[in-house]
Amino acid sequence: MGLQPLETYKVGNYRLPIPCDLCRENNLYEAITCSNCGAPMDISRIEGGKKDNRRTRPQLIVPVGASNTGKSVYLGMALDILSRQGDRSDITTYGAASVTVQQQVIGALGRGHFPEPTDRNPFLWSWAHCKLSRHTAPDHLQVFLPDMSGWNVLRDADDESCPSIRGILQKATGIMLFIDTGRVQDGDKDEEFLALKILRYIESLVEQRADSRPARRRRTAPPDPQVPPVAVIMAKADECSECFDAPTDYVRGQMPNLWQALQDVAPLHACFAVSVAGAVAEVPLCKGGSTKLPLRVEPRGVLEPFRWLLGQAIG
Amino acid sequence: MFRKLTKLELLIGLGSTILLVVATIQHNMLTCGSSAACLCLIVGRLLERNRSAAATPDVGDFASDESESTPLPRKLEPRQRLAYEAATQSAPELIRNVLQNGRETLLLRSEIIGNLNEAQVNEIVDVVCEDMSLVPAGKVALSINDLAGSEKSKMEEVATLLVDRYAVNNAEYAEFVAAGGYADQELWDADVFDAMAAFVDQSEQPGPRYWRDGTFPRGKADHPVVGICWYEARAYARWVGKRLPTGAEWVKTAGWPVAASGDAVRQRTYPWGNSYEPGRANISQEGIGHTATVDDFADGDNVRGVRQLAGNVWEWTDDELTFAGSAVDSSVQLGLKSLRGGAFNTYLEGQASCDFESGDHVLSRRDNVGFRCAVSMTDLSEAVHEQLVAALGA
Repeated sequence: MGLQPLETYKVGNYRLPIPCDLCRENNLYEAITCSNCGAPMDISRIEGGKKDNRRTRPQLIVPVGASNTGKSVYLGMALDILSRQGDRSDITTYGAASVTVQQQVIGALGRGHFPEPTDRNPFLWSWAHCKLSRHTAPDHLQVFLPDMSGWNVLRDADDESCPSIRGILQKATGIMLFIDTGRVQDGDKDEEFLALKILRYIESLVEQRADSRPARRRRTAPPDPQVPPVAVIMAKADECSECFDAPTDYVRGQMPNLWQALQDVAPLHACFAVSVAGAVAEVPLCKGGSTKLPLRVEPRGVLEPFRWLLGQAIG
Repeated sequence: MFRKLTKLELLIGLGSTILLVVATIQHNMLTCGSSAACLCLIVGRLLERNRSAAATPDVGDFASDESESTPLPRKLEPRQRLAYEAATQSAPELIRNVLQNGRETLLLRSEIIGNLNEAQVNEIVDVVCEDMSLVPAGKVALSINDLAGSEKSKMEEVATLLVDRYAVNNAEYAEFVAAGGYADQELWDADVFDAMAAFVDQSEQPGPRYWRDGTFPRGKADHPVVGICWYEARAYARWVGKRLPTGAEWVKTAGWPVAASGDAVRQRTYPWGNSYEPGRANISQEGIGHTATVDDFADGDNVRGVRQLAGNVWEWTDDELTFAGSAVDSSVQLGLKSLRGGAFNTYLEGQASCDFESGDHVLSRRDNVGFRCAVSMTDLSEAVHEQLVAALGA
């Protein structure tokens, strides 16, 4: 009778907690999401090389912006475009959570509505997961994109009441900074200041993270902490042809404060114009107020900022 | 009224006279004969023109026996102007001029057709049959845009009409521009006069948005004209003696409803059938990324050969875009006009279906919005109804 190997060593694995890569809280080995911040544990597993046994640092590209700047719609649209391209693209969507984001956005647009605002509960946020195949490397680059509530981001910037946000932003390897082009065109200066606030907040988080690292003996001074590459996304640009023609000039001309901050804080940045709806109607409601409706879906410029950020990550 | 010679004819006549005199002096019989023949031709044209003018029935205020030359009345609609021209030009000349501009349906109006003989009418009917398709009268089901999200529809009745087989292309629109269409206020709605300064091209000349120096981009003559707002589409339609189709007419053309049980109808989801099929329409999925020629995608025709009702460019209709309110069943009017059909960058296939309705602001001039024209059968002389129905099917 042959001896069966006694794989008791595996029992040990189940007793070791896995720290969340974003908030450092310990979680069970089999946890799917972090019990503290709601982030997918896949990030931690890939970071630690425990899932695929591949030492590939996962990329965390974080869409940020004020409420109702089009982050969710952008994310769902980008995922849908990528999933339609399938193997023809070097970027592929992965996991059920990505499909959830796609479904919520494309389903709503198909019914002639925008999706509901993102929930303020971090545990209800969707996390998109993509893989980028690289010809120069045998393994994929794993990319995660959280669909966060803009309200939470700004609130955390004010009173640091949402630890999930801080963990995500400190670990970000790329930032998508969303701005509502329509409001900028209408002369709403708040859009610029909200974007500026978020940018400065990210800068402070990066500095905090750098300060919290243990000092090491070095012959040379450690490099200054840097804000990760920032893609400034002028969303909802369907009514602004000037923005599509020259997005960088548009940002510089219309939002000088933000422009200056980008030069100071984010040496790696680029500006993009994006639209998903070909036209939007603001419809007054019989019960008061109004609602905005997408009249048709005509995505434009959606993948460009994503590809740029991935290009910065690959180097 | 004595009809004068054109400048070219005067020049030829004068030259021929001088040549005749010189040739006579020099005893050059060949040159004498040629010059004399030329002179006879010019005189003959003059006599014929005046004979036709004398034989033309009175068309109301446009011709007068009391003066030698009657100036063209200023305030004329296109068909009134054409009636005037019918009274003052020879029929062949009139037909030639009008057919060149794609305005053939004007000739079949009751005010004009009396000036034409049977052969000429047949010629014009042939051209109309080539350019337009007949849509029979009947019911059509239209979806209602309901803010509450419920799927409601309504039935509308459509009278017999003719619809352009192809969207209006750049070359056709260029005729309108060259003929001074943008300067002719009679073609435009009065409420748009103040906004017309914005109806210019990239070089600030009157014309579609993406043209330059009064002409379309090179190689795009047979692409649908785009960068035109709803008012520009209407002005062109007036100029050619047609109009924009209503939403119901457009859907009837595309969906081709047939009677089902009771009052219900069954109509197609797409002009070719009930499922989207790649290769039949220029939408985003095709990967082209810009307009195709108006005669491309023949596999996407409706049952009667009307092309590109799905894809390529959205098409202006004459309808307002409305939304049924949620709390109270009332329509909310927004100053938007209805668009149908989808375009080259339409991402969701369902938005290129026959029944889907989009819209845009009346002054919007986008690179994926064009139009096609229609004309009611009742706007054409009854004398040609039977002929058109026989040729185009009912």
